[in-house]
Amino acid sequence: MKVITCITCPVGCEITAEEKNGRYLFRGALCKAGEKYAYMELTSPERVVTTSIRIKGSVMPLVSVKTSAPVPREKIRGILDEALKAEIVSPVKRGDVIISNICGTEADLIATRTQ
Amino acid sequence: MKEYKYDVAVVGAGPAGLAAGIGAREGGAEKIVIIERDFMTGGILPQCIHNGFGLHNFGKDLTGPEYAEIYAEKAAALGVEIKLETMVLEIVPAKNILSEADDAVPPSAGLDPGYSGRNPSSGSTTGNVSSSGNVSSSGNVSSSGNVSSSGNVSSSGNVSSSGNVSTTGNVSSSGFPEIHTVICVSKSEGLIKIKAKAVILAMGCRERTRGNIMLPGTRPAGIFTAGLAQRFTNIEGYLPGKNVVILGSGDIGMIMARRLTFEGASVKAVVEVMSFIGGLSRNKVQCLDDFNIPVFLNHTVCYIKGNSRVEGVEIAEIDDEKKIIEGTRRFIECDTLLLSVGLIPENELTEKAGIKLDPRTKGPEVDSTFQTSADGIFACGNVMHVSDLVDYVSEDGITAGIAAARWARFSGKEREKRYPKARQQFTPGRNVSYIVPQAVYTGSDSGENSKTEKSPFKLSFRVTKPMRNVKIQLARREVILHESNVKKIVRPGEMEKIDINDKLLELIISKNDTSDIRVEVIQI
Amino acid sequence: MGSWRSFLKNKYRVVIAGGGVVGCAIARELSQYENLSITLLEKEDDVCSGTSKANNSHIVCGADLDPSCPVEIEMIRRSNKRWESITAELDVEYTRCGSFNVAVTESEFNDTLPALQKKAQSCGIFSTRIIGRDELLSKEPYVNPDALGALYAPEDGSLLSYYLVLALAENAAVNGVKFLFESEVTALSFSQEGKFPWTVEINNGEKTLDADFVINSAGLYSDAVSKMAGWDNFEIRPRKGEFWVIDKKYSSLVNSIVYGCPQPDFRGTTVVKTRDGNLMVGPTARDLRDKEEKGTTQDAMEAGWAAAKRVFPWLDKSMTIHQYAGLRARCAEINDYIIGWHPDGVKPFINAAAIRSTGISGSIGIGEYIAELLTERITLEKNPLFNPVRKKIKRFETASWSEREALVKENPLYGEIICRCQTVSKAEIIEAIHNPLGVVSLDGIKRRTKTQMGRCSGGFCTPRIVKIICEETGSSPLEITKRGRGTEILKRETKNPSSHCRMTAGRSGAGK
Repeated sequence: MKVITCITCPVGCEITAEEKNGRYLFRGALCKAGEKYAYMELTSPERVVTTSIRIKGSVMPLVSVKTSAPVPREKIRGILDEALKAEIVSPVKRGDVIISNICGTEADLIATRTQ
Repeated sequence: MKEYKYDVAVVGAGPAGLAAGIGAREGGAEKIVIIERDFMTGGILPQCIHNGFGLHNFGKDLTGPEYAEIYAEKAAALGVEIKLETMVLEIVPAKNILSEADDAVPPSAGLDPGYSGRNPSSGSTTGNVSSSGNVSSSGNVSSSGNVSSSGNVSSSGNVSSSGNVSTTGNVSSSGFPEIHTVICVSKSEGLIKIKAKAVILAMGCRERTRGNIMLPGTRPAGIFTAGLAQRFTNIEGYLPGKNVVILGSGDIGMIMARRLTFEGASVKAVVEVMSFIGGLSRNKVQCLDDFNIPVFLNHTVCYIKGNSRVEGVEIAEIDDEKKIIEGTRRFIECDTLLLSVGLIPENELTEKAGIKLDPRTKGPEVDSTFQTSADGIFACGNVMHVSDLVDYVSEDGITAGIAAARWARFSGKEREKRYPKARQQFTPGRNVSYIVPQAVYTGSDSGENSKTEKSPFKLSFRVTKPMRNVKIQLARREVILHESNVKKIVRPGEMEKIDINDKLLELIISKNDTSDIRVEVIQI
Repeated sequence: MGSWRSFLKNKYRVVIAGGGVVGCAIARELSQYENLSITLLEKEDDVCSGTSKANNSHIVCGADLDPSCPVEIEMIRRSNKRWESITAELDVEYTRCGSFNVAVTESEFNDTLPALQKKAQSCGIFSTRIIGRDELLSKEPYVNPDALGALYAPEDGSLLSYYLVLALAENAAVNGVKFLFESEVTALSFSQEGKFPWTVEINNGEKTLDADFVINSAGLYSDAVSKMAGWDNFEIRPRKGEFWVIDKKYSSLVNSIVYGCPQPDFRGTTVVKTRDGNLMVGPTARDLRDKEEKGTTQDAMEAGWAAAKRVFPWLDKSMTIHQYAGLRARCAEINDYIIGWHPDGVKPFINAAAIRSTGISGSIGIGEYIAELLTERITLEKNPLFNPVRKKIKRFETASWSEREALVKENPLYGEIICRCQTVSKAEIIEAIHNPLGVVSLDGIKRRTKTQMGRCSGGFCTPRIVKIICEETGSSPLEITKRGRGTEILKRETKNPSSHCRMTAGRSGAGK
């Protein structure tokens, strides 16, 4: 049994999920969207990863980056490792792809500011 | 001193200020300047590299830097001038003869007409004072002499009941303020005076500190406000700690828990005084739960240990009266304590200018055009009240910008008509901690041909505690003017809004009864 | 410094142990003599790092002393004559604002105030007056409306202790005194052979110095240093005082120094307007054994505020911007300062020990008196090049508009405001970084510029100050400390792969 806090809306239902014969039973969700969210969270949770990477030739030593789309949660660590190794040279524009298809997620690591 | 003239001057180029600049252009102002002390725009956003911005305004999940750049680009495209690395030292409102007790206050904000070398900081103090010396946190001055945390004091002890200190400034023949002076300094230009028909305050807020919450213990290295740690981590590229305890479950605290975890630090605990998480539940899930970071609700840090560097903190459970429950103390070893214990609007310039503050929001009292108690001075964003979403800040910035541009456009009798003295006040009722705006113009010419500046607006407010299944009411005395549909949940961390449309506005503005309208949240 | 003084490597005429107000006042006083080479040893990274920094800035004239403490009375009497001149020379803001002991009950007015006045007279202070309610209200309009009157001590004054100590130290340094920081005296050995009778061991043998004379001004640890010289008949038992700093916006509510009537065991909590315009509430008093127990506590806070609110009922904890605690070096066995030559009559060792809560007020007199003591054994020759004048850093915040214009014109960095709460410019910070004592910690810069002291407590300016220190000194941000070694504020670079710890697997959501 697992408890999932729904973040679809501000109500924040605490949804309990129970697995029976490969199917999930949800309790506590006030709406269908909540059950859908809980199912996603249980089977394939996804997150947008944001961090920073080194940049040379800029006033600031780092430039902020993010994944262009939500990625599977278990990929977070790998993406952070890639970001740690990365280094670019200024200038960079918001939206520039730093690493494409990062960790095989089909999302790109893109710059989130121009500097 | 070099002098510049503008229609609208905005103090601060964070999200509120950028939006205000854009709004001022949309409202038709020609010469607009945003004054920013940093070397870049965006305020706090460049260091907020996480996503979650813009969902409300753009329907997109943006990061802080992206959100800031979009607004900065728009402001630049609209020809809004931005003065970087320029610090506003003082805002001198134009003389405001509308406030009755004005003459009782000696010139104090510190500017002689010729800037003849008077000490600008002497004599300009804040806090209303009386001779008997009581302080009320609610902040009104009575003739028997309360001291309020807002409002004005003159060093000679005179009291102004309106709270406006004025100094110099040009007064038009109609008696309306014409021009304000914003005194700034920069290394490239030295001291400069910016003269503007309207000024918009957009200075944002600052973090509450250890001193503010009187946290006991030693004073070692390793105690940071969450925002300071965020700056070091995200902008400067240095990790402030390896083993971290975070006091306060506000959004910045939770977001920093994840950031520091990403950078290899170990977050030992998030400690929250309240019985509920302070920030958005989205952040609890994605920043704490994802990384199994324990949260201690109804707990506080009761002692900081360590002489050179933080060695650990003692935490304990607290009861309903916020007193420590003995026997629940436990020690958590850590080298760093992050404080995410709230934000306070940054109103030092506002207070110095003699503008009235609301002790609840700790920001200036405003009307529905976001005009403060000083005519022609507007406010928006976190300087007015601390918002949960930057999207709301931008929205308010646009509103204030448009309003300031309109103010700058009208003068004389026209302005007098549009900005009447009569106002309908709002006050927080049951389960509501504050409301913004605090008033709306009523005027004597309500109806179809009304010229008063009272177009539809939104009332923003926060509840005092999380509640389920509630209705929001607007009430005057015993009469309920408006009741919302049932809301499944309201939380202090998430701002609530009521749309005041034309119909509701008609109801609110009553000629017969001008007593305050309460905003209440009712359990059903 | 000049050729007028012969510096032998690690050999000094005078070694002063301890760089608080007492050590610095002695150093400054002795720096006017040509024939003394002086070094001051301080265990922390800056002067004024212990007891001297944590007090309420009240300079007593002697009206409230214990008549049975002749040494303390004498030192304060000597200092009291010199405040105007010394603060003018050293460019330290000082005001003889007077103090009030406010009576709020009949018995306090009728009994306590006359008793206090009598006590003042027996300490040689005849200027105090008992004043009625009206006069009190004319001087302190926002005092408790129930107040019946007060004992007014017009000779009492106010200055910020760290400004005084920094000024004394900087002036001493400019006049040739050498300051060694992070240098704790750990042993003293005495030998009557050779030119330098004392060998001073620093940091358990990290370094040694030779000296003719050792002067002990080690504050809380003055008993330990004294013991090293074989003078061990006293012990320092710290007395903790806690303080609260109130937001500047309330500063117009208090004009001077206002006490309630004394509590049984200590003078009572005061509210003082400091020279910076902040109000300060405190101190409390609690006797301790642990000399490093500097934490603030909940209990003291409640007691301290209750006492302060008796005098100013409008005070509210929410007005606080900082709090801190200080330990005073009070002696358990001897109820007075301990000042003088070693009682064996031989060893060239002088104690300036057990200088308790009145230390700032007594410091100038102590320096003067110790110079006199030295003349009992050597002849002091005035240095014709002694420069008694020291100038403080010009502050943008307190300058008038025309002065501000001139400052920025002369140095554009005065136009770059780094600390927004206290309006401190980059020019001031750079000047502070290059101070005569060479102190570059964040706390050092704080005390020299007032940055990090305002409402945001450095939340905004700290990264900017770190950057400026690095630019000026070539250090890495990782080397910047709060107050000397062990207090580095940052742990490592975030994006340096070699120092980066990976997010630990067990904690991450990955693989769950």
